[in-house]
Amino acid sequence: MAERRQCVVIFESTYDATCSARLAKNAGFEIRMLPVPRKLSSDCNMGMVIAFLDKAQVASLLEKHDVECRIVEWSPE
Amino acid sequence: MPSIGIGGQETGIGGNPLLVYLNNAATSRKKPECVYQAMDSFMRDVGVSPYRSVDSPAMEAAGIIADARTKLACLFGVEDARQIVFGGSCTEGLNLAIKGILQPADHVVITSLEHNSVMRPLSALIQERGIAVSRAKVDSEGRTDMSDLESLLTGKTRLVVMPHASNVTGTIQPVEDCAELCRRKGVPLLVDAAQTAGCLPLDLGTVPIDMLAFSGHKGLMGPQGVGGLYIRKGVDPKPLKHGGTGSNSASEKQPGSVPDRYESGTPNTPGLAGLSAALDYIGTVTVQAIRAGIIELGNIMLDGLRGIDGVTLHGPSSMADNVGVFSFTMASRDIAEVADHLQHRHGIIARVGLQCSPAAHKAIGTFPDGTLRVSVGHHSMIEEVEYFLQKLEEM
Ligand SMILES: Cc1ncc(COP(=O)(O)O)c(C=O)c1O
Repeated sequence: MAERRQCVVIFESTYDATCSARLAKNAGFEIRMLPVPRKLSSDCNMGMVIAFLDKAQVASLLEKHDVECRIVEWSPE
Repeated sequence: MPSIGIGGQETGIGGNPLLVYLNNAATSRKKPECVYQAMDSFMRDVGVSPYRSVDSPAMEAAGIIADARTKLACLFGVEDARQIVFGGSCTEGLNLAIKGILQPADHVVITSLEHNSVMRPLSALIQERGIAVSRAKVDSEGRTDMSDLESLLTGKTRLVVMPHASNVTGTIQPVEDCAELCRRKGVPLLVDAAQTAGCLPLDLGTVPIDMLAFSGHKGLMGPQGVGGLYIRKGVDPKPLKHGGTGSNSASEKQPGSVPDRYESGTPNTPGLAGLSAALDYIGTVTVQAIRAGIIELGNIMLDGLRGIDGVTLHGPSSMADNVGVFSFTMASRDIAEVADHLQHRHGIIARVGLQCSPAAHKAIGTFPDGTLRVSVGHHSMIEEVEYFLQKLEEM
């Protein structure tokens, strides 16, 4: 069965959000920017959806670039 | 060359008023074509605020700013683009650094050449926070005396400020030596790079400057309304302004992460689109080549000015020490009248007076009348310099 769970990356700064979207795309991950779902956080307007299975790899990519973020599991309604 | 038109003003090709722009120290008038295009395209095709939503135009706007930040970091040799903070001007960058670092009763050491964008924030802090300011001496060509500067440092010195080059004399300052000294003494150094960013190479990766304020619209050839401050990691000025950033919106407190901490309010995205395009242009041409062009024009200017009777040059005698700014006075001539004549009769735009820098004029002995200043830039032409010299000589 296909994995339906996703993750949302929540950023500390707008610059990090912007650059992370590019980094992840350029590294071949399927991503989409979205307003962070309210049930996850009310912190930041810019979130990045990634596949659940990419979580570890995206985390290590962003860590390499000193991006301050949290990655939260998300099942869209 | 030009002919005399109706009203006594010389006209250029097609009868248009001739405009010989020699005020590049104030702003670079002509921009690379890509700057106009980038701004026009942003305004027409993107047009939205960055960070306030995540639709594709908003992400494009955010990307334009991220690009400008990355390119400027690259130009300055800064590893992490987050350390580049954008604002409306170099003045804003200087205010952020000065007001954000200095606390009550702190001591600050400056040079004798500071622009009012340094002097006025300091004057305000003398009033408001009781800070003390000491000024290092300069020699007759406007070079800061480093041993005098060192002798002024005390245990209470919280900041040293130095322009990378003077906007009055054009003199390039010993920022490398000053950075070394400040590092040794453990005092942060703020450099005012208004006159040099984009036209004089500087590598912040090797020169340990703590904060560097820049103007986007002079040598960087972007539009007016952009500038900012580089802040080294670990240096933490208090924000100058507080407000919405699009991040950490649940909190009523200013975010701690850079650059958001210092960039409240909708940014000047059209301006940053222009700056980003200008940085591409500079990247292709290279700062080294821009500097070489300015040296070539400057040598003609220096030789010409030296050859005109009655002209006294207030600044370096060699282009090795000059960023492309030439200040002079004329024996028994009112320099304002000279400037007026050059502009009205010959379409030559120069700047007369104190150039917002009374302190520098006091130091070089030209206060309160000031000087007539001509300044060349990347888009200046040899013909313009020669035309100016010819008209000045004819007077
Ligand atoms: C040495 C120096 N510092 C600061 C500034 C202020 O720059 P801006 O007008 O871009 O704020 C100028 C502008 O003329 C300058 O020449």
